[in-house]
Amino acid sequence: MFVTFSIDLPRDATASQLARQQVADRLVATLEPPVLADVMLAVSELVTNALLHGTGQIELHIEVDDRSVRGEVIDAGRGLEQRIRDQGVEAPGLQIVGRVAQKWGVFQGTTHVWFEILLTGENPLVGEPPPGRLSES
Amino acid sequence: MLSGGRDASLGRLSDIFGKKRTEGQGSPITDLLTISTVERDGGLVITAEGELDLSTAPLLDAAVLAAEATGAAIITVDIDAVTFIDSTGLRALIEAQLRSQQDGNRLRLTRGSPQAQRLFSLAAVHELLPFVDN
Repeated sequence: MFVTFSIDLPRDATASQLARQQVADRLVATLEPPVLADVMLAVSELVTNALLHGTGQIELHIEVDDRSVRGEVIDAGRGLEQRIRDQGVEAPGLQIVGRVAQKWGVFQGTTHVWFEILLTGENPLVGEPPPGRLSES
Repeated sequence: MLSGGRDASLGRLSDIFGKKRTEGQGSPITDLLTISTVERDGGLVITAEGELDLSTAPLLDAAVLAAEATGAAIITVDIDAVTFIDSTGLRALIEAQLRSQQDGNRLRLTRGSPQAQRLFSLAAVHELLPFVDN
């Protein structure tokens, strides 16, 4: 049940598809299909976000335990967090992440975004996304 | 990957302009997204198969724009064979609908896979998009 992996993604248009494929290959035996689909969606959104707004290599970390799936997408960009502070969560991709994940956030001064999808209890609610939590990195 | 898709898309789009397509030419298309446009009942049906994301949304944009440039009364985008769509793909559909609203409301959209419907539900766009049953 416990799965952890990290992959480096190229900064080009193939990155989100590569990330989704890796997630699918490595977690297909671990997660229920609807949860896997949500994880793939959240990963796709965050990698796309990194492509559009970040710089440098993109890293994806995934940790699954018996409680939750936690994903992080990290690159060398700055300013995503500042834009969220300035404009609120307007990026459609982040809104989607906020709706599939019970928790998510952006580390201060970075394009380092994380999400957590719980495996127990209620399914993610459809409704207003929770505010992104800004954390100290 | 992308250029292969674009070539394939343009090849199929040639149907619109009445060019003959040779049957059985080339190898099977294995790109992330393949798009074909055919005429049906006086309208155009654009069928998308594969994954609709940042890298492939421009292919769908191009096909829909090409269809809009014709006199087709109805433009149906069939996304039932799209296995994955994210907000970038959704944006292409919403932009197509916004153009349609300014240009005769010609766009129709199939309801899509369970994954697509999940995204439409998460994004709360069901009321916005012109869904039809296939």
